[in-house]
Amino acid sequence: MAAIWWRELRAYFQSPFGYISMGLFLVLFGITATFSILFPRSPLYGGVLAQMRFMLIFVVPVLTMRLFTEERRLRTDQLLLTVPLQLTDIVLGKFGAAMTVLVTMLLITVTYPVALSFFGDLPAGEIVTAYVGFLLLAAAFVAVGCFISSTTESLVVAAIVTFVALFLMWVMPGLQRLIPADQSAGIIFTAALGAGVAGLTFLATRNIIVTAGAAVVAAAAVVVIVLVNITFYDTFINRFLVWFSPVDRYDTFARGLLNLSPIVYYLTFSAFFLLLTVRMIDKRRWA
Amino acid sequence: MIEVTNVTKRYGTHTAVDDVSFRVEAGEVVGFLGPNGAGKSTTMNIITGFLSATDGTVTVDGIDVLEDPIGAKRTLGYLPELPPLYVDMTVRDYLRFVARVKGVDRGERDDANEQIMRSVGIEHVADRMIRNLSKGYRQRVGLGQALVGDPKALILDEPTIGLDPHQIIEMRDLVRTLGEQRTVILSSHILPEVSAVCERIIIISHGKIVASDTAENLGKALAGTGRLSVRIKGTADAAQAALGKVNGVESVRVTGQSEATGTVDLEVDTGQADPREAIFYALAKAKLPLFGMRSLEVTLEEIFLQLTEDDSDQEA
Repeated sequence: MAAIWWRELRAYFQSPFGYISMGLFLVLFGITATFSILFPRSPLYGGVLAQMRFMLIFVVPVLTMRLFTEERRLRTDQLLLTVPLQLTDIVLGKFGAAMTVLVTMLLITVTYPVALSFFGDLPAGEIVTAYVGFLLLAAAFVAVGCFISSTTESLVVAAIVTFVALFLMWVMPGLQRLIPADQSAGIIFTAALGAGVAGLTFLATRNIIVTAGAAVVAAAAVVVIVLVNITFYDTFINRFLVWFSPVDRYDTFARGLLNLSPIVYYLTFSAFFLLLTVRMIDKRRWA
Repeated sequence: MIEVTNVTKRYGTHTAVDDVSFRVEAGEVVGFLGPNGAGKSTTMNIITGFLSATDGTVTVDGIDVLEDPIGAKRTLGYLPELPPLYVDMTVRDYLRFVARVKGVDRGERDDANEQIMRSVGIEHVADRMIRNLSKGYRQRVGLGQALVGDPKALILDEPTIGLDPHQIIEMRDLVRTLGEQRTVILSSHILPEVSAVCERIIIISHGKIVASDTAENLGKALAGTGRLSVRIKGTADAAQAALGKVNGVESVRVTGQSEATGTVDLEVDTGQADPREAIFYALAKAKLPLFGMRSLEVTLEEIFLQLTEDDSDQEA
């Protein structure tokens, strides 16, 4: 794992990807900080990070698009997959390298609050928790990017799909008013969700019986909820999207709170997509 | 050492490898021969665990590649058709990385890599970027990569592809030297290459094994089919008619004709008989002067073509 991490980190800075993503992030950060702190003479540093969350949508695709696409394109995956290495080591090594670049960028931005602290009092605790939250959100985004790059051989496709996926996650909570809130829409959505779970089960196990089992359980759940408490489906899509959206979970961190639930949520979210990445790579051997 | 049992690989409806079984004993150097697209690379990818077979089992040194992939991979060194090189690294850094992922002990890595670089002849480009190396050197770096970790068996997919004739000879010698201490499976679509290096040849076509034997035995199997090249003064029709009647002649083909000298060149398949005398008299009787006649050797090339062209499922 360490070997993969180290090679990947080197590759970031032997190619333009590391510099582009880092440069892009720092420039955007500087502009945001200038406009939200310097010009209005505001001490609310946490606001900068909150706004920078949106910039992650642009930076993360640059950071993750090459992770697996390049290996496939250059056929170096034939080396990685035929040496005595676990797939999880490969995926974690690469994820770790992308996260290392991200952490480095964030550490550079720490100079802002440090510099500001000479001119006034900053809420140190809130800034620290905001950074923790930002990092967790970034990890979730990088994990999504990781997964998407494992599905294609093309850098461009990986970058665009990652961008679109992150963008959708971003706007998801805002779409609430456009989404139908009635019961039938909720039921259809839940059924689709069940089908999705079954699909993922198949991807993960390649076992048709287990998949069928998962599908039956999901279908049964949909029916049972209809019979027991049909009002559950009112505004279900909304509640689900709000629950699923990684963007809003950040808010508690911005308020200086380190709640366990969003931390667990982000870590599970990242782990889930990394696991999908492993399964995706493994699945290709059987294609 | 390597045992492939009833391996099948299907991509949708296309069957790339169809029920292939063979064994390679420890220390053997085996050539995998077949036209492009015959399933050589797929088979090798299955042995090395890069792909999974749809059906069948592969064991390497007694280890099932599906049950203990890590253990099986430890005993194999693999050079894929396209060497898996990180072009943004120097040769030395690249081999160091490979040694790390293959779990070579930290203390031994550098010494072992020095020795590998010397044995494949890349020590003088050790600090060059792989990006800047020629095809021949890249191929050698690829071979060096396969040697890292001192694997018991080497799987080499088309190791001489894209090399110039001089490099091909060097690569062959290298493989021969490596084969002295290791089990080697080498694939190629070029016959002389395989017959020059390998003790045993497995011929694969359309995903199936059509023959598996030593080069000499493969030759003997088809030694019965003799062939003559005949030059006659006269017309093609007359010559064909006269030769066709000779006892022991199986078929006659016109291969060339010369207006200037009025001669015809023909190729005569003779089976196991030797009808040269009969041909001489038959031509004399038909008043067709014989300008020349010689027997043609059946080469491995032709055996190969025969075996891979007709789709008969003869198992060796």
